[in-house]
Amino acid sequence: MARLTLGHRLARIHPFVWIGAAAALAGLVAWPLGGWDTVELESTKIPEVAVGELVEGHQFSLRIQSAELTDVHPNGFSEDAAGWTWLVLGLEVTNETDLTEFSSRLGGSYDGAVSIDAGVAGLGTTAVDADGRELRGEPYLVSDGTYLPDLQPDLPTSLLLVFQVPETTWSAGDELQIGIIDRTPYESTLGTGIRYGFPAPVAIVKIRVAQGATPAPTAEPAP
Amino acid sequence: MSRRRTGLTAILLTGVLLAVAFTLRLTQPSDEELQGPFVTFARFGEQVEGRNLTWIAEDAYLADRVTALGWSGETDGVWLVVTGTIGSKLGVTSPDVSLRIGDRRYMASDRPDAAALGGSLRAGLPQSGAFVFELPRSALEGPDARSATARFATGFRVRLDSAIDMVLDLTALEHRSTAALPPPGEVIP
Repeated sequence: MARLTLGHRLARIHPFVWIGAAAALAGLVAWPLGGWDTVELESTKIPEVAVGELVEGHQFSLRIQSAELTDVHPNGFSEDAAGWTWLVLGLEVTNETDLTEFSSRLGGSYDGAVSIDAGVAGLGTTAVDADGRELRGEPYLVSDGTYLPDLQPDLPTSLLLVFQVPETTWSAGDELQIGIIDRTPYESTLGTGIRYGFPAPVAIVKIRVAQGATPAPTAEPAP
Repeated sequence: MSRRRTGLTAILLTGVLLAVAFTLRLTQPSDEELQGPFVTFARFGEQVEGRNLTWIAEDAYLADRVTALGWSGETDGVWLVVTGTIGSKLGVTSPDVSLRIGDRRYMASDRPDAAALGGSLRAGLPQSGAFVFELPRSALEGPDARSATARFATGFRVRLDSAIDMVLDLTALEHRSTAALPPPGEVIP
């Protein structure tokens, strides 16, 4: 009976064993190189941008400029409920689409582009207003106070977004995290035009909340 | 010889049929053309009619600022003002008016509210006044600005219905610093 050479012995080893050995060796080599470390994907990090910095999006490009708490609604007549106040964001918005868009879309949770809880709104916020309805920012045009102004393509427009928030959530001087949400075009039909979807937070803006106007004290009635 | 002739005939016939098929495919109307509007073109001073709307254009000009009924329209862009008389033929309707510049489409602004046209029209009672469009200044540059098209219709996406189009050369329009909008009012025919 002929003696088996080393080559013959190695050849008799099953290919799966070779594959397993190679994988084990690769795993050992990867260990000191950090291959088994738990890492956070760069693509999942939401970049933080400064106040006043432009956040370019597919649907809207935004520049957050101010945030203030006020008991006086910018429209001059809406009254706040007891225990609630108004959070007013000042921003510049540019409609990047080919069609006139409704500004009512900016502050909503379903189709919004601006959220006041760090990018969660727009992807399913649970925040509500004083009436228990889903929290929406109401847009007003800065130049003439128009409510729900149209956003014309490629025209930077200065707006106020007014959110009704509990008095206890923020105080003047607190840091507010604003999430900017963008959507990408995914479909175009004769009936709908270009449609935007797949909402994703694309930036976070941290801003100090300022104290806005407070109601003028009512004069004591003369005795 | 006969079989050879038959083969040649088959090849020729196949070629002809393929050419016909390609020609049909190339000349086939697109979905947009099949479902598009029936367009009537308007010119200044002439009354044009669609299925439900009538329109007489009077003037068009640009303005940095427009004013009307105590309202002052400030903008970082520029206003396009188109004055004229619009009417409904069949029933109460709200005209849908937009301006196409290249691939972009701008709806007539509702910022002037009741000071501009755009509200509901009653049949047989046309209204005179102005439509205003708020445009970025960049819209006035480039070749597309020479063939901007204002569309007057009864829906935003008109399919198999009439529309009135009016081509405007934005680069040739008078540019005013301030313009007072003519107050809208019904015109007794």
